[in-house]
Amino acid sequence: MQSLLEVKDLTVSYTTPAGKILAVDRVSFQLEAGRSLGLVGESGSGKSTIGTAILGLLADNARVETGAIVFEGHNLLEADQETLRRLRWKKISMIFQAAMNALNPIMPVGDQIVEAIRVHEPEVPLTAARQRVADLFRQVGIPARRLRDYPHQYSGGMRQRAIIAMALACNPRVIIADEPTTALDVIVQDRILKTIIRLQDRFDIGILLISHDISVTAEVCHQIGVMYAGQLVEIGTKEEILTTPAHPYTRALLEAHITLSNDRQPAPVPGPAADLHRLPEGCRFHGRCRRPDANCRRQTPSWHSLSATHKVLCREAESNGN
Amino acid sequence: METDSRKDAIVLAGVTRLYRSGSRLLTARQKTIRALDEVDLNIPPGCIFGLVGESGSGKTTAARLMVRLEKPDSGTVSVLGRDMAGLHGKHLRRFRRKIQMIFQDPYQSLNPYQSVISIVSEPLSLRRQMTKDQRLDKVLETLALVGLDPPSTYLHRYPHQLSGGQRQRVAIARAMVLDPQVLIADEPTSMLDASIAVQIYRLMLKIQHRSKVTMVFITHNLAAANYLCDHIAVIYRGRILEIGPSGSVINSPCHPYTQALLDALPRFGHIWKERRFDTMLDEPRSDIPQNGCVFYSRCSKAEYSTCRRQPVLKSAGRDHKAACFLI
Repeated sequence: MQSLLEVKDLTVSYTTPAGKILAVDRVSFQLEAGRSLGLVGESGSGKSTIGTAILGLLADNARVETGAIVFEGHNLLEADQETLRRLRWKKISMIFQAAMNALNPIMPVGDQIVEAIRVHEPEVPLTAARQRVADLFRQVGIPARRLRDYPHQYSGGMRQRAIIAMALACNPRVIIADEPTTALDVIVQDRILKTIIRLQDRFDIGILLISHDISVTAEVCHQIGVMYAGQLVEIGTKEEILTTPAHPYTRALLEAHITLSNDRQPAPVPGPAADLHRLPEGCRFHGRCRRPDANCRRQTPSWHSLSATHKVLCREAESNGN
Repeated sequence: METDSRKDAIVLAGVTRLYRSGSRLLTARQKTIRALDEVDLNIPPGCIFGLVGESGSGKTTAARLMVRLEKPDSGTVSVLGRDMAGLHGKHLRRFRRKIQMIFQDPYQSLNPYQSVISIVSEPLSLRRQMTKDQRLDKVLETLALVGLDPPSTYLHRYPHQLSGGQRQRVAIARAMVLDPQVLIADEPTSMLDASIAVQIYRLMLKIQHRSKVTMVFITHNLAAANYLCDHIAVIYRGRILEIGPSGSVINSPCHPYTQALLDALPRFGHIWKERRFDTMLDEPRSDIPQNGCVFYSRCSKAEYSTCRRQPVLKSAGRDHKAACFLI
């Protein structure tokens, strides 16, 4: 089966005053239609850079060094700006963390989405576009009477749902959701995540959900990829990542999560966050790993498959007889 | 909770705070929001007290009243035995040293043009009798307390040179440098990575253990409150709906709203695999009674005939109270 979106061997660098860094280093994954992949990792792990690279919205100081991003058989990295512009919203749309603050404050929310549809699909008549927006509002759980309201009359959660409606407006094939619920409270987060799950099933969309919170990806995604210091270090189905995590960093992320269970104390991920300007030799995580050996400091780890869907970038997996 | 209001660190008695929106000139009716509605709350000294609720519940308003950034429209707020309304000018400034606050966003609460030493030593300028060397020692000691180690390497850094977690540590150091008796933390980790949040929570536990400061922890996350707090009060639309020791509020929640907050936590890793209570409606009710239970419109258990009146807090276990007719 051909995947909906394939990221192959992607490397993205940033030129900074302190030198060049590799924010994304040889990352590969596939996204299928109707499935979702969660990318999880701490700030600076490269997860958001992957999202912006797929959308062709990398910052001016960023450069794609290697790789390909294949969507419906075309390499997006070779597409011209005009093609990318047409793909965005129409085929690949996005939900950003701060997007709820990006609504135009002096235009009714419904009209803004109608406008987005008419820009990307000029052939759609106004009445049909309005009808589509009313349907979308019902899908994301905003009462139709709120169509004429302005953004300031919406709560934070409702604005974020309007953004989801806007992301769905042109029937995209892929949605990239970058921290869609960060800074929202748990009740609103729960509602938004449930809305995303429902819409994914209904519209057969591929979702790439980017979050620092592994519990958010676990709530929504079929597959989870863990990123550390620009590298994908483990990827597998949700069940594999949650029940048999193989990379020490994945285990640390899971242990750092606060739960209601009283018999397990959360433990912070040890050590300081990775510095992309001063990456260590060997495995990038060895300085924070609980069980590194001498080889971890010298040798770059390679991928090991634990199942058809689960693989890890760690030497320990190798020595465990795989 | 044992209530001996003379000993309690913070007492809210019948506190109401109104926010008025809309101009009286332009609209016929001015809208009034009851951010806090006749709230009674006693926070014992030397504990970590959690104030839990969603956005707009009034939890931040309660915190702002405790540090007297705002005054109540009625009722009294007493901190360390002093009625905050009676404090003005010099007396208020002096008293405020004992009450410190840390905010949500360490990216905004620190001045980007000030170095760490300047940020943390600034409050000490209130202590005129301290020499420069004594101040530096105090700053270094406080930076070490908050885990910025070795402290001397952080003195001359600026906020942009620090990670989010380090910035929040600097904000905590600034709050702790005057040895306050009350520390109010308003969602101190909501802008931080989940893996960093645990570090900050552990730091708060360590500080509380060492200094015996009374902490008020404001959050929307019951799992975090359960980890940190001795007592929890659940607040919704300006009213306390449930209050008690953390263990009993979390393990035997009585109010449908508390149950909804528990249901809303991401499921993985929690004790309960599935939504246990299903107490929150997806579509709010429309037949909202005036002066009824504040949770009525979203409560799946509510019945009009019973819940059209306002429930008061009643006993639901040892030191545990909830405001619901259905328990």
